[in-house]
Amino acid sequence: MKHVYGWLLLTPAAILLIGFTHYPTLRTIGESFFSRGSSLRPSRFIGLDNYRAMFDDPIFWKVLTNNLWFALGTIPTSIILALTMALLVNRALPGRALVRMAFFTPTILPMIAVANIWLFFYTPDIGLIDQILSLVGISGHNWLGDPATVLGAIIVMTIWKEAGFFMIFYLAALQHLPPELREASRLEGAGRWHHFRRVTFPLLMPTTLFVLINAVINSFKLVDHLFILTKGGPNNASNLLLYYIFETAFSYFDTNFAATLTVALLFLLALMALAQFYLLDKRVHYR
Amino acid sequence: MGNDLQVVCLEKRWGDFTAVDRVSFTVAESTLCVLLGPSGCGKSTILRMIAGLEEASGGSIYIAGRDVTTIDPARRGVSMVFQSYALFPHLSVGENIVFGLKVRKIGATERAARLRQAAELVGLAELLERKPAQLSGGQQQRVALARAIVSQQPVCLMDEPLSNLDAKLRSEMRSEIRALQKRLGLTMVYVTHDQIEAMTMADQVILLKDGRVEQSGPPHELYERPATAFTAGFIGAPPMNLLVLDELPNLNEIKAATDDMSLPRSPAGMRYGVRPEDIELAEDGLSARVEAVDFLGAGSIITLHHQNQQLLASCSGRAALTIGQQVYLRWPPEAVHLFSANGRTEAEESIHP
Repeated sequence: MKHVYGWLLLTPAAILLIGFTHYPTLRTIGESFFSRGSSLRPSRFIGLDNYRAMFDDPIFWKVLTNNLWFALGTIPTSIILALTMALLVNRALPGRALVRMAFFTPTILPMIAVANIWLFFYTPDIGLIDQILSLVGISGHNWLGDPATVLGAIIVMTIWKEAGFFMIFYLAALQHLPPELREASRLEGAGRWHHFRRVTFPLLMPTTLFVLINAVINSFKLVDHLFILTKGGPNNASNLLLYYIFETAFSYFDTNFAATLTVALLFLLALMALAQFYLLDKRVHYR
Repeated sequence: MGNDLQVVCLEKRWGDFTAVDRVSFTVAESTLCVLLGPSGCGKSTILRMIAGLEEASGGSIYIAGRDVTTIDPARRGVSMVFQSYALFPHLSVGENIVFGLKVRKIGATERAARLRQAAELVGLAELLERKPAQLSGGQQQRVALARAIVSQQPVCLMDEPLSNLDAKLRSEMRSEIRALQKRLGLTMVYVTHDQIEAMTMADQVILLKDGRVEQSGPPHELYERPATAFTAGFIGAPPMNLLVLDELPNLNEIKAATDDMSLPRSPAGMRYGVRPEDIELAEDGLSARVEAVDFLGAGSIITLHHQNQQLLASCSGRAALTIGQQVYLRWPPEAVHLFSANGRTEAEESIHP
């Protein structure tokens, strides 16, 4: 009788979890082993053919490389920036609430609005950046149209949006640190930097791990900005893995190949999350 | 010049609020001075100003004859034990203890030697690899002590170090801290609100009230000759009984308790103090009714009512009294302390009219 009661309590959560997470995951993995179906030729089992095609697909390698650069460009910078901003607004500062809000504003803006703001910054000749550059005599540049600068432009915008979000986590963690720790180290003669390196930063490690995992997931999750700004172009120079999946599924309607790419993405993310937990767990002090 | 500490006219103000008001005292080398007082009396603020964690609004602080009022906390020659211990949770016990030595760039061999010595002094030698979270409250307290000892600063400041410990551990640590202080010859300033800590540990007690020094001196002096009604009520457990003479309809009874000791003619606002331990049960004297008897083992504390005023009396053993019983109280004339309306003793009044 007790068993039945327990299972009944679990059912609502289990239905949601299975319906929206586990079943789609398994279905996706299943789909990736089938060919693209059409009205003339129904979908059939083709084993690992889709995976072979994926490894032969130059665009797949291109978006994967792009994604790697995008992750390397956004993650360390936004974390360092977030920590710096958190340390800055954690002190007594005139207009502290205002500064905190200013740092956090980019985060609460919808993605589409952010992309529109930055579209205005990046527009050739009449955009904010080009207008400022023209003052010092540098002529207009198509930031989003040039394969050499487009990924960098998106990286800058992503950092701008993410740093404020990560700052909130650091700020919360900083406010949990007892102020006596700083007083104790002051009495021992430890300077600000020494205290940060030896006490504050190690005590923030759980937050850093959390933020790092979020940042990695976010760097593989970007679709909206690309949709508004570049659609992955020019010539896939700003295309990222998730946007490529989106295109494959909903522009080219090749859901089976999209499923294959999705499995690759899931595999990558799982691998990285595991690596982070195993490598960093020893260096993280949980209270 | 020894390692003495001198505080002259120290002040701390926050806006209109004066937390510490012209406090002066001297702590002789290798003695233990207790800053005692109820919460909010400014005792912790004084300690934090001595440490340099709080800026003084006025006055000066001298350590070993050197004016340190505006000097950086690290260069004043003080170590401090915090109420919360302020241990670094991610560092092991050993690393916590030598944290300051590393900052001060003391060589590894000397560091190890000093760590071993300090750890043995406080009985932590076996636990150096542990993290603070794996220690009991008493052991964490010892780590904080060892961190103060290992720095070898001449003046040691303690901010209510025992308030997070249970009663048994507290009395153990009291005698241990006192023994360490004597053995190492530390000049120690010890903040507490617990008068038992003050009585048992101090060479000198400075009793504070509302940011001012109420009375200072050796513990026995504060107990035997309280200069004010506040001191009388704060020092001693249970505290001194303070009867309001105005509210007694008949002063003859209270005179009878002491073989007709004469009382001042105008008792307006005057309080009559007598310690519970001086009160004896007798055949005649002040009449009182027994309200409660608390048996403590070695003795009992009897709560009594005379008219509408409460009196406490302590006696040895188990008092054979029933609640509601009528008893008579007596005490020797020399046990009486009279305080005038402004709280000062009669003797002081005659000196400072």
